[in-house]
Amino acid sequence: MPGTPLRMVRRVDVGDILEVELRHSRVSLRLSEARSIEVDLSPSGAAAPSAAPVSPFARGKPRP
Amino acid sequence: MSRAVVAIAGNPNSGKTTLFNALTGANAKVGNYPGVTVERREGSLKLPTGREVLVLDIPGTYSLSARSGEEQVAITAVAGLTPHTEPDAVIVVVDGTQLARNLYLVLQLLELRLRVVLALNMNDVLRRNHVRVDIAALSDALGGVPVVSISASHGEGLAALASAVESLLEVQGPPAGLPLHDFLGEPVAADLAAIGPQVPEAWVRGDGQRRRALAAWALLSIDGSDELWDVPAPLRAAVLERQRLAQLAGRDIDLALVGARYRWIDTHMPRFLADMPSTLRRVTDRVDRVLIHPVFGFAIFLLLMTLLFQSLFTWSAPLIDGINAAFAVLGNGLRHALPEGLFRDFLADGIVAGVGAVLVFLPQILLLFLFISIMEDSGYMARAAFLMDRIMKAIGLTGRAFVPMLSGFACAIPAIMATRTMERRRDRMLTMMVVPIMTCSARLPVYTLIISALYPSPHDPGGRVAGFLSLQALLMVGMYLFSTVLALGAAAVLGRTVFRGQSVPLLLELPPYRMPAPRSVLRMMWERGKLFVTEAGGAILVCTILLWVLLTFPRTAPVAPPIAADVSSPPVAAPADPGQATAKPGQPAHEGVTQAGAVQQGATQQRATQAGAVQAGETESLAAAETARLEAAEGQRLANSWGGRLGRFIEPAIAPLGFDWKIGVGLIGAFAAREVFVSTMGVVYGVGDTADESSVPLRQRLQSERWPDGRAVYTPLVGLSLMVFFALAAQCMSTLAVVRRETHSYGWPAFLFLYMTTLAWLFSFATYQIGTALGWG
Repeated sequence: MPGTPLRMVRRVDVGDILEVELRHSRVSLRLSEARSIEVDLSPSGAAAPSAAPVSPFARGKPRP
Repeated sequence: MSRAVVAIAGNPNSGKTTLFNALTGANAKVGNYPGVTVERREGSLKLPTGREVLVLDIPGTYSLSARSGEEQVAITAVAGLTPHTEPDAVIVVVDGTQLARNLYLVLQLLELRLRVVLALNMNDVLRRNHVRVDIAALSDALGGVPVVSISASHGEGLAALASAVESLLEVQGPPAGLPLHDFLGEPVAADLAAIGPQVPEAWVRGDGQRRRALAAWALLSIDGSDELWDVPAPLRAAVLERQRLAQLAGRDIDLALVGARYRWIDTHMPRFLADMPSTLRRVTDRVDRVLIHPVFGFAIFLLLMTLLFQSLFTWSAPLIDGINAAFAVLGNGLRHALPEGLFRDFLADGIVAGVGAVLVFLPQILLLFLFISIMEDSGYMARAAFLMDRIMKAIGLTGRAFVPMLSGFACAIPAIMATRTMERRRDRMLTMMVVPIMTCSARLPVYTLIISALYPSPHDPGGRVAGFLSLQALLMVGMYLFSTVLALGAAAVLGRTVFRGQSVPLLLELPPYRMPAPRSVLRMMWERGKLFVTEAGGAILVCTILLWVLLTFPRTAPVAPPIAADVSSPPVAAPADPGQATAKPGQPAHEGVTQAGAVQQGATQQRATQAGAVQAGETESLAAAETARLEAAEGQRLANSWGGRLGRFIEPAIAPLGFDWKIGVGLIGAFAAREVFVSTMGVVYGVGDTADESSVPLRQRLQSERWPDGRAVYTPLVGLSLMVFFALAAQCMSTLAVVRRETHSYGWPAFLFLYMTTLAWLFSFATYQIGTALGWG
């Protein structure tokens, strides 16, 4: 969802995977797919998607 | 009076199934929802007053939105849409440590005006981390929904939960529900109003709020490429039209609807949860530093997979041998106990051998699901999928396909069943279609016989490559590599053709590590084993009996060749004219034993009978000649059976591969299980039904077999062609039976059989013809 704060937990090179935390939950997604999400970096280190993403998350049905 | 139905819903990894197990004990039944491979668990629960209710485990889901028939099960079962009836109450299990995300599903259930009890799980973890959720405030925010703190894995709070369910069942009138009007905004409210009239009345039941909730579900679930069932055409058309109009207006209905629910959560969360400390995942973070480390993570993963592979191969062997031995004893016992005749043969060779052919798969299935259950329950499976994603994605599969693919090296049956752990139907189907290509253990006896009979050993001239590598070992490794490359290639091709689908982003939850509960692990093993026996076992049994019939009939009086005058001649005899009289051919069994079917039993009996007629004092060589005579007779019987005739019938089709009709009979017999090829060939060549891959007489017979023009039938090239055929052909009725059960279709096993057999024929043809053209024949 646009405006949702997220925190990057780790990037795992071996699997081309990114792990992020949002709403107290950890999810992992492919780096190639994560690239299509725009984020604004906040001073506290958390980031928030700035606009509706143009990734498959936007085209497909968004899932909570 | 019928029992009230209480559904348990919740997010994956929320502890939903643990709660179901804790509430229902050992009385749960497992089946499938009609038409889909989604497990349906139900059990009974006695409430505090003694009232018994039926508890239904709804498939885990993050939301009720759906795109496939499998995902649709959650909404249809929980909301009571066709063909399901609405549950009388819903326990929604919420992981207290993931409250914000879990509340999304709660809101959807409340929008549907269902009677809901919220079970706030992981209370022990919250307490340990000093996290306090204000239960009363949470209940108040949700419109008075009962909230009970529980710890499903420790059995904490279950009595209170049962009381809350009982109280809820006694309340009359519809629940208040939770309208989201305040958070929707005018355009989306208009969308819902436009779609609402198209929602079937049978779904709505005269409830306006439920109509809007189902309209919202339709807007979020239906699009041009969904695979939903039974969605009325007017509703689908209205949704697509509304989406088109919204797109023209630059609006995103999906984002507006999802956003409304999250705005509700963000607005109300501070009322019942002050903060979630970051220490909650400290242990998980530390473990993850190792388990998904680029080097250590992979090393540990490979170690675990080696252990899994080893267990499927070696730990299961004594159990498989035990089952085979037990059924051999049972079959022999019946043969001795019952009078000779068709009924005895059918019972001993058809039924007993058939049941044995089913149960023999259980050890590997149970072991595989022991590992899978531990990996799932501990949270490691998600990490394994995470690690393997890049590799598997290259061939169009997901990381979760790795475990079934690896298991396919042991046996395709448990491997196909393991695809149930994959969420997307497309991934599951694709994996099912390529797993049978992996070199299963049943192919090994065939390869061993061919390689040892037709290729020089390291001690013979030409038996070494580059002076130190064994040619036989290289061939065996080569067959493994060949099947692996072909399986991956098939996945890549099928994934881009037959199973071409919309690219779905990987969005994987990495749950905190938890200690698997032994009871839960054992229960999963029991359920999968039971499911296999009850669902696939029947088909395997029927196929085994059919094959017995094929290789047994027509039954005519046995006529064996006369005992050779020269008793010192070698005990080998080619089958006589198959038009001669026959009795009973081979009925195959599974790996670990040579042959537990009709051949063995018929031959044993005949030997015993005729041996009894031999006068005392006759020479041992005479007995040996008698044995050879009977084994030759067995070959004749098999040659004259319908299966033998079928072998001749298919000879023109297999001749271009370098095979004669006798190999054709072996291929037909191998349909029961691939390794049965060896014992069937033993019968065909009259060296006995107990021949295995190490049988020297059988190897000698293969080496000495000639075409009418004097050419050797079995050359190294024919051997290679035969191994290639075995590597690719779908010659396993049990595999086809399991695919049929898993897909609920005859079409998919037919497709699997046709594409693999075609592939096998083409590769085998190319091997033999190119080899012959190059002079290798």
